[in-house]
Amino acid sequence: MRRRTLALTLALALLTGVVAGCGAQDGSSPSAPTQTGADENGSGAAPQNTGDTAAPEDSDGGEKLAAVQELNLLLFDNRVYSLDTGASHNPFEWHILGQTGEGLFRVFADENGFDVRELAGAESYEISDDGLTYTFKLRDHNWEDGAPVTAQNYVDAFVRVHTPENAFTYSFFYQDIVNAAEALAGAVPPTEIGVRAVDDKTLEIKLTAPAPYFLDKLTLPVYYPVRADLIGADTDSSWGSSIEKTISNGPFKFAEWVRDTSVTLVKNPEYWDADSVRLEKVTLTVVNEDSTRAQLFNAGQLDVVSGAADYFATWKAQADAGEIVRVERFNGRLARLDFPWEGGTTGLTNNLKIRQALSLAIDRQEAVDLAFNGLQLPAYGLYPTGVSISGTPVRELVSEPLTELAAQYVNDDAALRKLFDDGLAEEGFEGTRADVTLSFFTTDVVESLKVLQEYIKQTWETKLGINVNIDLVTDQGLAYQKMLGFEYDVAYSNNISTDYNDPYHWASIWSSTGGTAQYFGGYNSPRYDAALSSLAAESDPAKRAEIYAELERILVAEDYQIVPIYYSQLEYFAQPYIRNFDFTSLVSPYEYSRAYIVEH
Amino acid sequence: MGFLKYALRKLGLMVVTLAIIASATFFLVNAVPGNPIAARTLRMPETVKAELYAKYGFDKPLWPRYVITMRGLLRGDFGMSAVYEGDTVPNIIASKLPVSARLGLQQMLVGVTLGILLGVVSALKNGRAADFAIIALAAFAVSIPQLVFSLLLQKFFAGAKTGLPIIGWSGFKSTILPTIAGAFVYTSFYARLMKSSILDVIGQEYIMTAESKGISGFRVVTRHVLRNAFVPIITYLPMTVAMCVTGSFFVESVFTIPGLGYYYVKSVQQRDLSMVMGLTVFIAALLLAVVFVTDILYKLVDPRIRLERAGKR
Amino acid sequence: MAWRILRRNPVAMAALGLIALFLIMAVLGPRLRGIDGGVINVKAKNAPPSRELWFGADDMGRDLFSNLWLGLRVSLTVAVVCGAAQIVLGSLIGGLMGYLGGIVDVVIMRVIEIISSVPGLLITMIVMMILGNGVLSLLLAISITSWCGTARQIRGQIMQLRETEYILAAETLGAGAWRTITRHLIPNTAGIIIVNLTSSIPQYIFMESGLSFVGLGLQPPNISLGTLIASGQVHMDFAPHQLLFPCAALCLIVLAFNLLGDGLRNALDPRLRR
Repeated sequence: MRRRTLALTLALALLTGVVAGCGAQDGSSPSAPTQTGADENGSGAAPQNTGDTAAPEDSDGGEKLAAVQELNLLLFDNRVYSLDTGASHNPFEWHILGQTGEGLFRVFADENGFDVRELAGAESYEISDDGLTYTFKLRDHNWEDGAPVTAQNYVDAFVRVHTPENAFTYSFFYQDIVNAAEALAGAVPPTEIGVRAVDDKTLEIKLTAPAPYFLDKLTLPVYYPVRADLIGADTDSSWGSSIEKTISNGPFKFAEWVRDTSVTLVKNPEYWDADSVRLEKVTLTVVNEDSTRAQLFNAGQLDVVSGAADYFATWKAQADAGEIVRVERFNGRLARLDFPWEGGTTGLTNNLKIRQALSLAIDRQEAVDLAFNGLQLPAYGLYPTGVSISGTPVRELVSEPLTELAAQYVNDDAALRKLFDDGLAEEGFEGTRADVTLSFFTTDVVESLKVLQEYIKQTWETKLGINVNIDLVTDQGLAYQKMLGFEYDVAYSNNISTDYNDPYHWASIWSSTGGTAQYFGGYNSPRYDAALSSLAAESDPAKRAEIYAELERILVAEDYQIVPIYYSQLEYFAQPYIRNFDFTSLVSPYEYSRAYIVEH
Repeated sequence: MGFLKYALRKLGLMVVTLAIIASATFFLVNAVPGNPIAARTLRMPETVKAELYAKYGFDKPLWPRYVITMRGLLRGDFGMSAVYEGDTVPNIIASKLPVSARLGLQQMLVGVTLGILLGVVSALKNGRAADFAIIALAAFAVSIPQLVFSLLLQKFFAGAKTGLPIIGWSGFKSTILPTIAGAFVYTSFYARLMKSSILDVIGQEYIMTAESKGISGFRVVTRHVLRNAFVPIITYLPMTVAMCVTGSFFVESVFTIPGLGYYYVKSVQQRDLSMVMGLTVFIAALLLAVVFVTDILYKLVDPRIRLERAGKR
Repeated sequence: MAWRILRRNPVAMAALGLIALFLIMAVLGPRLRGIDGGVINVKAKNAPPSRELWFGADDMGRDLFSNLWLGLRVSLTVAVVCGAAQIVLGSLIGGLMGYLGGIVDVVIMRVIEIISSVPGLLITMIVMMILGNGVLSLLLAISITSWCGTARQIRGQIMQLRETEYILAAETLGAGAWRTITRHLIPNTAGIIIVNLTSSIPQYIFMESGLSFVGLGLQPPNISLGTLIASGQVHMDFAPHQLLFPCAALCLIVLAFNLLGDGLRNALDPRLRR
């Protein structure tokens, strides 16, 4: 009996000890329900031009500021891997780093939701006549510890990015700069790239060839200034794994970062335009489930919500009634199908006629209605809405090449089948369409995308009478290998984001020498490459537009290398008491440094 | 001394087992083709790509990597995460284990206690309607997928009026819903265990002897029955503790709790080798340690050893 | 004898009946309404239950009634096959260990210890990653670790029974090893095996649904209760029937197995009878 008591006591002691030791708490969460501001249909901030500092202290148009200025947002997809700006490589990181840092420019949104580039860390700039030298005059402003932001900080950042040992994902991005490619290849020390601090306030960048879109490339946080004295000159990027060593020169600074869970930002009082920054705290939280997002938004604990498609109908009604705000934005992405240029599981999708049949059979409008309740925009071209050419939206200058053909063929099953049969004959395929089984490769587990892919599969099976196998690979490493090895007949993807606001970003992906084409089907067309290189000599926007149009036509409507499905659109709903909250399209989804909350 | 040798032998065995587990994990994770960093190298110049691969050791073939990894393990160095720059196994465990452990233990406390209570009632009313009702209820509670239960709880308690936060992990209130979501997995098991253990004890002779001596029914139950009936519970408790401490993926995912369970599943999905190995070894070590301690405890209280020692005097 | 006791237990019999019903529906259900559950129908998207669609439609307008039974079929297959693997492998290996003892016992015990200490999820996830997302790989992935508990128990039972008198008596009487096993060991351990089975099967069903949810188990076009619940929970607020029916099916089948297990335990264990 006593032995058993002993065992019991020991076990309980063990239990208590563990409980006591685990009493320490961790983690943060959105604070108790706080109220935040809302946006009026995507209105941009009053442009922050040079010299324009403080916005009116309190009320705008008769509204009073709320007492508590705190914002609660969603942390998208918890893919914030590191706080090191040089190492950053996805829009989720760029969004946060853009708020806790400042580069030469900052992007806001205009009334129509198109991105507008404003001067920020730079006060003014000059481009030489030959388009090769950019000179930036830096604004007088300080880091959060009072040290001034100097041109050398920028130089240090560029040097870090171009140091091969750092192995940064976006190190390829600024190869327009003199010696950049050579530095990355190890042929030249990184300090010799064409970025130079003329003096403390003047930064000079030299390019190898004129690039009209270069300024747009400077909206990415990858090159944001760094404090070499604080992070050390070596290649250890571990300072980005916690907020201890980060230092801000932007509107906010880090208060807390809990992996996979949340990020908390607070206002940076040293920011040069701190008077315009009225938010005291911004909390971003990961919320994995749609229904949870909806609960939080409806309870006022979340200020901006997106992605919970089922609730859109209810929220739309509320927005129409003026209770909340609804914003639609293109986010510069194209959902499409890729074909292997050569090879593939059956090899049949190399054939032009088969490609045509597959591309024209899809009723894009119906697909989008089914999977997304009509939210996305059916696509008949390459360049996503939201991208501009020198300030004009690309889709106003270039019309989509596939629209008419698609309308002509989409309901004509007989014509589609004939196309497919002709293709089979060309390939010397023995058997009929019913003997064909295509491998449809995808990596998505999101419900709406599964619906879309199922729909496409069924379309092909019913309209063309073939068989389609969906091959789902969720593991990134495996998927990457499969794409490189062309182990598919058709692959769905929506993995290209627009890094800078120019169609060149998109067109260059299918260049046979760029290194990316291999991953997207291995496209190799001398005509396409020739057209692409002709852009280097052309700086007139109208002429460039023509070349972009030709490139798009070749890719989509002549070689049918890709099958555009839809231009990504995001729908946001926001609480009605937020102001000056910008929904930007490219690079980062939000810009809220000038946002504020009104009394409600 | 027999006991010391026994303990040392068990400890040695534990270390060998851990080494095998670490190796098995290494080969398992590497058996999947591709690696986690390949996708980042898409537009990298060749030299940079080579640097990246060298940084995480992917430039070497399998066996040299294995040797390097095992050597690192001996030093206690699991390496850095290939996905999250700068994360190491120790600092992830330090920040996430307390969260999971606390949640797990709270869930256990609620679930096991409830289970034990239900088990007692069920045993006393064995064969009657209440017994069936309890068994059915407990079985039902364990039949709802945790994911669905968590979502339903969130839906029900959303809104400021109830005062219970539906996501996050700060302050006692935010732990309430996740605790409820995960508590009932233990109830059914422990209820059943308690019930059969009590009935077992009640059937035994020394209880009948106590009854024949005239001790009242209630005292029989409380003093003799319960104390003995708890023994099987004690057998299972340590393992349950060890397993619950490492967190539950679904509850953590739905409630956005920065716990180990969620992180572990994500690491496996992303094939972040260092983290997967480190966490697997850690969890295995925890389980093995618990088994070890239980073994030792039982050996200590084992009458045969005591007699042996008594005999030696 | 145990069967007679079980027969008198209304709850257990009800559970048995429910399982039988589900098995029948798994076979007949998909064809019952004559609707092809694979056909996408845009107009019926998220339709609630009606006279035409008994359980309503999913987010692609497909008939949930037919698909539910298809999914149940897969889930039950997973449960049965993994359960069978557990019994067969577990008994064989446990029997070997208990009967042969010695080095065989030591080595296999270590193996069991290793497998039990590694989080089962890891092994299953990795195997699924290597083998892909099909039903076969799922069966393999779960079965690989399923036999350990049973093996340990069988081994324990056998070691216990070896010492008891009637085995010694039987051996004295000249009965060979095979007779000993079949006539004495198996009947005595059968009870434990069956009881184990009824509590493992719910675990397999849960495991499958959990894996499917995380994206590692079955994926469309394969249907299982797990995939149905994963798709259904997204629309929980607006089309609750999509979550309700698969979830109810899952709960009921798991409940049935649990209750049956309890009943069997009562029937087989002399101590629990009053």
